[in-house]
Amino acid sequence: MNHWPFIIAAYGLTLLGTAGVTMWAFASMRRAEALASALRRPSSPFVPGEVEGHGDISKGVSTSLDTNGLGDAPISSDQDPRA
Amino acid sequence: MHGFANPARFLSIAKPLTPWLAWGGLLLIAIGAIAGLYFTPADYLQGQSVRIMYVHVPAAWLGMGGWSGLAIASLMQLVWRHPLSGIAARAIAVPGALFTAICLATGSIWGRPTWGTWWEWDGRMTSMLVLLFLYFGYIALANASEERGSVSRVTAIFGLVGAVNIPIINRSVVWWNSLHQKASITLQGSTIDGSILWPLGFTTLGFSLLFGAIVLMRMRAALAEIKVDARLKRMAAA
Repeated sequence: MNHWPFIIAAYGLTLLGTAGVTMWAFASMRRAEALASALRRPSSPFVPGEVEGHGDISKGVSTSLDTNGLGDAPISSDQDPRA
Repeated sequence: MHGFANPARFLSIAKPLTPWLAWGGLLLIAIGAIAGLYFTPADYLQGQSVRIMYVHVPAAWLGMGGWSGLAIASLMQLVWRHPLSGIAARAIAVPGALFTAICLATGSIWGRPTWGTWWEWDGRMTSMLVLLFLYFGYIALANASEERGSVSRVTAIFGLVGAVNIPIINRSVVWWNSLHQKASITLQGSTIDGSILWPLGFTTLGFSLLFGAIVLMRMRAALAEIKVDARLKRMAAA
């Protein structure tokens, strides 16, 4: 009996499972930490009711978040101290 | 251990540690897997199929080690009310279940050319399957829990009681007749020849480091979600 198809199946399954859970853990960590840091900034433009399910919140943060106390007006990247 | 009860202190250690564990683990797995597939000789009895050992054994170790960690975290939650222990136990559950499933699947694949069967209802395989079901039960209970990121007392008790299966898995090949071989690596030494054994150290350590990285990532995600919830509540109240 040729053992190599069994070996390939075992390694393939392990690779798929390990890569899948690692990427899932990494993506959920990045998403949650980005959301937490976005909400920590002062004068966040988000209305609490709109962030149920954490939909487009990161998009809104990157375009119109006031981080320098100038009000709600969008700021350009050269004004943004984080840029 | 109580020094890490502060999530901020925990995060100051977990953040730099996560990439080291992940990349270190991946490197060791790659070395062990390449060596196991290409450089080690075939076993005189099992032939080439012995190479499955390099993924099967680490998966078994992490399935059992995962529940042991989960039980210790549950005990810490119940006795000392350590604030991160529930989060740690919950973070272990999914990767622990995955590696238990990988252990069962690779064991089954290894069993076909070695024993001539995919599955046998003997003590070792059945008790490992019970461990997988215990993980499923724990995950279901944890998800049903009201505690955001952490787990309820009932879930922690379940984690603790489920640990009774770990010594049963370990001793199953001694207590009952089994197709599965007895322990090959003990404190007294190994019955596996060194020329075949050495990559197993790399893959076992590598998968363990990667498992640690996955747990840390899941704990960091849980802590961030707790922060988000708290901030949204504060904003709603303002």
